[in-house]
Formats: sequence, structure tokens, C-alpha cells
Amino acid sequence: MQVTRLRNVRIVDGIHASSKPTDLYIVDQTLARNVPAETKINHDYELQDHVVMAGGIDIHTHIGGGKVNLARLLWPDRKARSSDEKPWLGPLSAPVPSTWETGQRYLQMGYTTCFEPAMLAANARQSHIEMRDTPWLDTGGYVVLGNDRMLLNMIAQRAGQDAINDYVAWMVASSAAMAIKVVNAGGIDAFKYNQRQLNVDEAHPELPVTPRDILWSLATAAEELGLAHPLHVHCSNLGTPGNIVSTLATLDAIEGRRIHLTHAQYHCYGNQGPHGFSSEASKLADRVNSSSHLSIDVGQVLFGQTITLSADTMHQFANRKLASPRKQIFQDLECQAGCGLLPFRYQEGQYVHGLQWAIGLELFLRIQDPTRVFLTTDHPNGGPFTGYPHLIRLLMDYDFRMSIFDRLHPDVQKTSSLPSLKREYRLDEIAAMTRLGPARALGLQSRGNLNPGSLADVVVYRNDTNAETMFSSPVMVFRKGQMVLKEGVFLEDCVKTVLVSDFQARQEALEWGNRPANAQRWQKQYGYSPWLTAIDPEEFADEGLSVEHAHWHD
Amino acid sequence: MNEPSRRPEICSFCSLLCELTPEVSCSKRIASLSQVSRRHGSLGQSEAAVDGSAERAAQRAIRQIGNATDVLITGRFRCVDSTRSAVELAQRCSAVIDPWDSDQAMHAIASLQRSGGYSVSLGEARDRSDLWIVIGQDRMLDHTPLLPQAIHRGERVPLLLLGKWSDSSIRQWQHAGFEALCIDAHLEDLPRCLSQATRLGADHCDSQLGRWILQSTYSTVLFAPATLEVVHVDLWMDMLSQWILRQNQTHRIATLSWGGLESTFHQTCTWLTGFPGRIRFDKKVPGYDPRHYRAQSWCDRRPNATSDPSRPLVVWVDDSIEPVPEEFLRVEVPKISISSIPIPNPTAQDVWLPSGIAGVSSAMKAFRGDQTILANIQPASNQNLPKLRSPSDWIGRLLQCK
Repeated sequence: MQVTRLRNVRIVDGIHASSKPTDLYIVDQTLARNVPAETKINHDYELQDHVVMAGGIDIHTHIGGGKVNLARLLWPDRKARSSDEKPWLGPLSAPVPSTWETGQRYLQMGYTTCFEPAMLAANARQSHIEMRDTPWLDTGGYVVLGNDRMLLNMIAQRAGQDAINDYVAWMVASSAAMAIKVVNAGGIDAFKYNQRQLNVDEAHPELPVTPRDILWSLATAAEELGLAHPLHVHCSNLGTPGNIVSTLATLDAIEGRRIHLTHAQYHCYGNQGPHGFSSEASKLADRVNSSSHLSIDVGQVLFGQTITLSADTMHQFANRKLASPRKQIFQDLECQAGCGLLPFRYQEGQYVHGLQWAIGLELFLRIQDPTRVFLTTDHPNGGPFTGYPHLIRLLMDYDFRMSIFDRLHPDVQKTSSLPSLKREYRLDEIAAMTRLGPARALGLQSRGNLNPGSLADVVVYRNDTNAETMFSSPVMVFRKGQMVLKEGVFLEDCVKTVLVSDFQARQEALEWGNRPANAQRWQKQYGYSPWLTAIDPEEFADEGLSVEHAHWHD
Repeated sequence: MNEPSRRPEICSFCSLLCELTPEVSCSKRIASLSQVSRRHGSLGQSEAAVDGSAERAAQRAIRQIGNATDVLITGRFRCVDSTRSAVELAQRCSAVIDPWDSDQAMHAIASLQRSGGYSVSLGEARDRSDLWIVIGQDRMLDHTPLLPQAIHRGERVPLLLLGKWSDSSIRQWQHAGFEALCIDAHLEDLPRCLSQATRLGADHCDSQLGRWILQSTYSTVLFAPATLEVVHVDLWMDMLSQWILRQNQTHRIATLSWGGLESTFHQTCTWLTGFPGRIRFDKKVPGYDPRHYRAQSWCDRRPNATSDPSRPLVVWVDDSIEPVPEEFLRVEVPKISISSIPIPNPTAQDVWLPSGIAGVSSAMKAFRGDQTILANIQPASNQNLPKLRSPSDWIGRLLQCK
């Protein structure tokens, strides 16, 4: 038995609000508050003036899969960096870095678990393998549904919710997914028929199906199957002025079922104001505050160069002229999706970009419960994940926030309500929004907290009045009880885990692909058997990965 | 998912990655199996000798790598594992890494990096297209004989063959069920011709080709960069991509750029390093230079190892069953070959580490030609093959000592 003692640390995990220094023990791979007096302590660290948190969890970050790799290809001009360079010394080598750099930079901020939110069923193996090659992080993915013609046909033909549940169960199990993601329900497929917009109650060009039908069917499937994470929704009308109407209609469509709204910042725009673009963040925040079944991640915009990538081909194509530099990649893909990539530069002096920045912060500051609003930039869409320490400082420091606000376009300063929001996040609220909340939303009971028996993914930060400094340079990071980073220096690799959703019918789910009628339909649709893309759990073992199942806890 | 018996075996001899059913009859597969049989027959006879000397060969290879100060890692990488281990070896040795056959793929990548594009995957195109435009020549079918069957969805769909197609190739497309119409055209000019044909829009179009394209609800333009005989493939692709992007402002059309198994290297190398290949590691950091770090260029700069003070070494990693290229054999630099076939006429400094064939005698993960699906291919079940280490196993052995 290996025992590590972290002495006199301040525990901050969103549950325990103690400001009194205490001891925390790491016993092999788990946490303890006490050990028997005779226990041999193998490693003992005096950590007065330090804060300890659970490893960070990023619920929505594009780190693996076809479009992520295309984004790497699209950006060959990289700044060479020494492998042992300290994290706080500079930006990423490119907006979408290599797997190795991704793992390194997440760990250097104290993040230990990340989720790829747009895994295509046809491409799930690549997503998992890329994430396997991302060191130090435990990972999982959400399978994209809601534009696949097999599902749309089932809904159109009134196949019944049981049949839809069986199909969804197969898709989740065969792609070893953590959750279901729906991207612009029906819209990606409609674009393949040359339709350029699809509102929540508008019918698909070829089938008598609306986005509302799709959202309801998938949210019901997620709930009835008992998936750990609720339906993860990218709404219709991404980035379009006035899209608050369709966002609220989306929330209505699921009729009180659990839902997670992703990169919500891009979905709460009005069409008022001097440039026909305004904030409706308060309307969405009010809805979140009054609905306990609803969580969001923000997708905060951070100024600078990035690449936007999305399965939402319809809206990425509409935005193609905003690409900077002027190049773009689009794909129509089988098994439910598309993909669009545009390089993009968010600029402080640009009205829309400045207002997007303010809208994201408004959402953070208006939503009361930090366990239901999660810190993301929708990496790399709003900006790279390495901006998280900066974003945390924006939330914790009103004066710092205003010092940037004062540099924005004058019309943003005139119209935004941000200056009136004086709230400053506390450390325990930061822990709640980056650890506890995401873990709860994903059904990961042993992560995101420092309870006895929880997984010993632990980060030690030096207390600092500058939150950006504090959160970009942890003193120590432990993964599963093993110290892997100390003062910015990597010590060891660690065994990685794939996180997948457990659900009531998991074992039976895979039978779907064996039923002749289903196999024939699949073969007719895609030209190959369902088993070509299905992932065998033994593949994870071959790759040296362990598998952890997440469970829904009401 | 304990249903291994229901998973069809996957053919690994071309980038179509067909699932093997009684209906699949492929000339390339038959020829390749015969080649494998001959190759492994000779390997099987010398198996004892190989086993006996393999460890000694590995020790020599480790010494060679330890002494070299300028290393090129090249060859024919066809699977994720070979690429992963080769990239790791390159990082440890501060080596240049680039596949020997990367020119065409790098042209396609250069075009993508410059202009982007609008593409479609095979399964989506098969399901959605009501017009196929196939640009190329017979070589496309030599590389992927069952491509016509793979893209045909079982109903009659018009297909325009543009380029240089023989009668026998046209019959192959027709035999798959397409209403194939061949228009003999100069390949170099085709992007410009397509642009011309559609420039006036649907209402004023003055060419039959333009009308077909503009009246279809979803057209797919299929071509294979590696089999296109045009002078500047990247510029040709730039023009085609720009035309496709313009067309999508009003109607739907996309390209299906069909790659070979070598695309697996470029994909894997990109996620591991940020670059598709042609990199050199310096203090473990990859530097990308598509001209300078091209494998052949590296070799051209070293005509004779005896007069080269930098102690060069080439590590050849080969997942394929193809013979080693003549131009590589002419390079007068010590070679470590990790392949199923020995280096012909080796010098005293050359080392051969006999390996199996990916997808046949060892498992492989490889991308389909549209780079959408990464298939997990198990070793062929009906081959009586000697047990040989895979290239990635051999590189792992070399890495233990580096």
C-alpha cells in the first residue's frame, strides 16, 4: 500500500467549503481523510497556503476525431516549442495541437478528464484512438445522432419509441460512447438536400420530421435507457441573430426531460441593437435558474486566432466568408453528420466578437448554481482550452473583467449589461463548475470531488491573488494516486481510462446489429455491415486502456 | 460485444477494405493472395534460420541506430501501429520521417492546406448522389478494382467518366450498374472545363455537361490523386476545389478524393505530431519541411555513405507485400529493413528484420480510402502463415535499447 499525505492543505471541491487547513491522504488510487495511526506514510508534503482540488473535468472539448485532425492539417504553420517548456510561457503551437501537446497542456492546468463531444459513429474508432494517444487524460466521447436517415426514417414511419431506443442503444454501445449529442437536429441532413436553414418546427425537405420530433425522441431515449449524461444539445441556428427563439423552443421540445445545452453562448442572441445583434443571455439564464433538469456549458469566446470546427455544416458553410485566413474545409459524412472548419480571429474591437465575449460572461454570472453551468470555450471554437486560467480570472475579478470590457467596441460598452454584474466567483464555485458539476452531469460519482473513497485525481495549487497564475501552474498533479507533474515538470505517464455510459440494456444493445432486418437496413444505407465500425471492448484492452462505466444518479 | 464470429473478415489489399462475403470476387485480392503465399512459402522454409538469427540481427540494428547521427525512417506504412512506433523511434533518434510513396498524398494535403475544399465520404456519396462524375483513367481501377460496386447503391444512377478510359474499364462501371457515359477529355484541363460548363448557371447553361451537373440534386466528383496523370496535382486540385466551393453557394456538389492505404500514415502522424509527415525531430520537437524532409530528397543528398561524415542510416519499415523500390535500393547508405522481404544484394552493413504482412499475418488498423472509417483488421484466418513479428513489434524491440 502506498500512502501520500498532503498536510495542512485547504480542501476546495464545491462540497466542502472549509477554509481551515487539513490533511488529505492518498491511499493507492483513492482518497482518505484519515488513516490508522500506525500507517506508514510513503510521501509527506507540507502544503500550507496551498489549495487542493479534484482533477478538472472538461465536459466539451474537441480533442479527437476526423475534423480535429483536419484542423491540425489546415494549420501547418506551427511555433516549435521545446518539450519541457513551462505552460505559462506561451500559447499553443497551433489552434488545434497534436495529441501529445493537448495532454501536456491540460495536465499543466490540473485537468485530468476530457470529453470529445462530437464523435461520429462511423469515425468513433479514430476518435477513441486519438484520445488514447493523448497522454495523462481519461477520455470519452458523445456519439452524434439526429441527422442519420435511419433514425429520421424511424421517426417518419412512426416506428415507436421502443424501436428508437433499441437503435440508440446500439449506436451508443457500438461506438463506446458516453452520451448522445444532437447537432442542429435534422439540419445537417437538410443541408445535404440544399436547405439552408431549419427551424425547430420546420419539416425536413424530404421526410415528415421536424427538429422538435428528433429532439423529443432522442431526449426520451436517453432518459428511458438511463444514459449517464442527458441529451447533449447543439441547438438549431448556431450563431444567428435572434436565435434565442429557437433555443427556448428547443428547451420546450424536450418537455421537461433532462437536457444539457452546449456552447450556450452561441445560442442566446437577439436581433436588436445598433447592429441587429444583441444579448439575450438573461432569458436563457432565467430558464436555467428555474429548471433543475437543465445544465449548460458556455463556450466562452476568448480573443485571438483559432479554428472553428463543427458538425453543423449548414451554419459553418453560411459563415464561410468570415474565415480568417480565407480557407475552409467542409465534408458531408455518412452515419449522421458533416463537418465544417473555418479559421477565425476574434477581435476585441469588433462589435459582434466583443458582444459574444460579454454574453458568455453574462451567462456565467447570471446563473446561480455553479454545478449546472460549466466552464468551456468549446475548444477550439471559442478559443483554445489553454485560456481557462484567464477565463477563471475574468470570473473571479470584477476589475480585471472591466479592464478588458473597457477596450471593446463602443457599442458593446453602450449596450451590454456586463458592468452591472458585480458577482465575483469564489474558489469553491470554480471547483463546482470545473469539477463537481461536470462529474455529476456525467454520472461520474468518484470524480470531481475529494470525498473519501473517490479517485485520487488531485491537483495542488499555490494560493495566489491572481487566479490566472494560480490555475495555470499547479504545484502538483496526481493521477490515480501517482504524482505525474511537479512544478511544471512531467514525472511519469499513467494508465488511461475510457469512460463509457452504462445503461439498463447495455448487454442486449449489441444484439441490434445481429438482427437480420437491422443488418440489412444498415448494409443498404451505408454499404457495409454494422460491425465494420462497431468497437469491440477488447480493442481498448489491446490499446492498454481500462474502461470505466458511468451511471445515471438521479 | 462477444460476437466475434459475426464480424466479417476484412480484406487489406486495397483501401476499399471490403468485408469478405462469398459475393466478393476481386482480381487484386486473388493476385495478392498468390503473392503472399509465395512470399510466406519462402519465409516458411527459412523460418528456423530467421528465428535463429533474428535476435543477432536486432542487436546489430540497435548498434547501427546507436552509432548513426543522421537517420531517415521511411518505407510503406499502412497501419496505425507501425506509424506510431516509427514516429516514436524518429523522436528518440532525432530522425527525419517520411513514407517513401508520399508525393501524391502530400500534393493533396498541400492543396487542402492552401484552398480547403468540400468533400464527401464514400457511404454518404453512395447514398445521396444522383450524379457521379469520375475523373481519371484506368489506373484508378487497377488500384481499387471494386470501387464501382462499392459506390453503387443498387439503383440506376448516371455516371460520367471524364478522362482516358479503356472500353474494358467502361464496362466495369457499367457492370456495377451505372449508366456510364464516357467523355474523352484531357485531364489537365478538366477543372477549367467543368468551371466553364457551369459558369452561366442553371437558367442559361449552354452545355450538356453543365446542365447535367446543375440539374442534379447532389453530384459527386470522384478522383484518386495517386492515379491522376497530371503535371501539378496540387494546383489541379486547387482549381477543382475552388469550383466545387463556388457551386455549393447555390446547389450541392462535393468531391470524393480517393486515397490509398498510405493515408493511414498521414492521419496518424498528424494527430501525433501536428504534421502529416516530412518532419525532423530536434530535441523531441517535430519540425515540418515538405521539401527538405522528403525521403527521396534526403537520400539524394547522400549519394555515398563512405564519404559522408554524418554517419547516415535508413530504417525501412514495410507493411506491404510490394517489392522494395529500385530507386531505394540504389541509395548507398546502410539500411535496416523491417519487412517481409529481404533487401536484395545486401551490403555487410545492411540488416534485415523479417516481419509479417499487416492485415494478413498481423492485425492492423487502417483508414478506408476516403479517410472516414478506421477499420480494425484481424489477421487472415485461412492463411497458414509463419509467426513473424509485426514492424511495430520490431520497432518496440529497437526502442527498448535506444
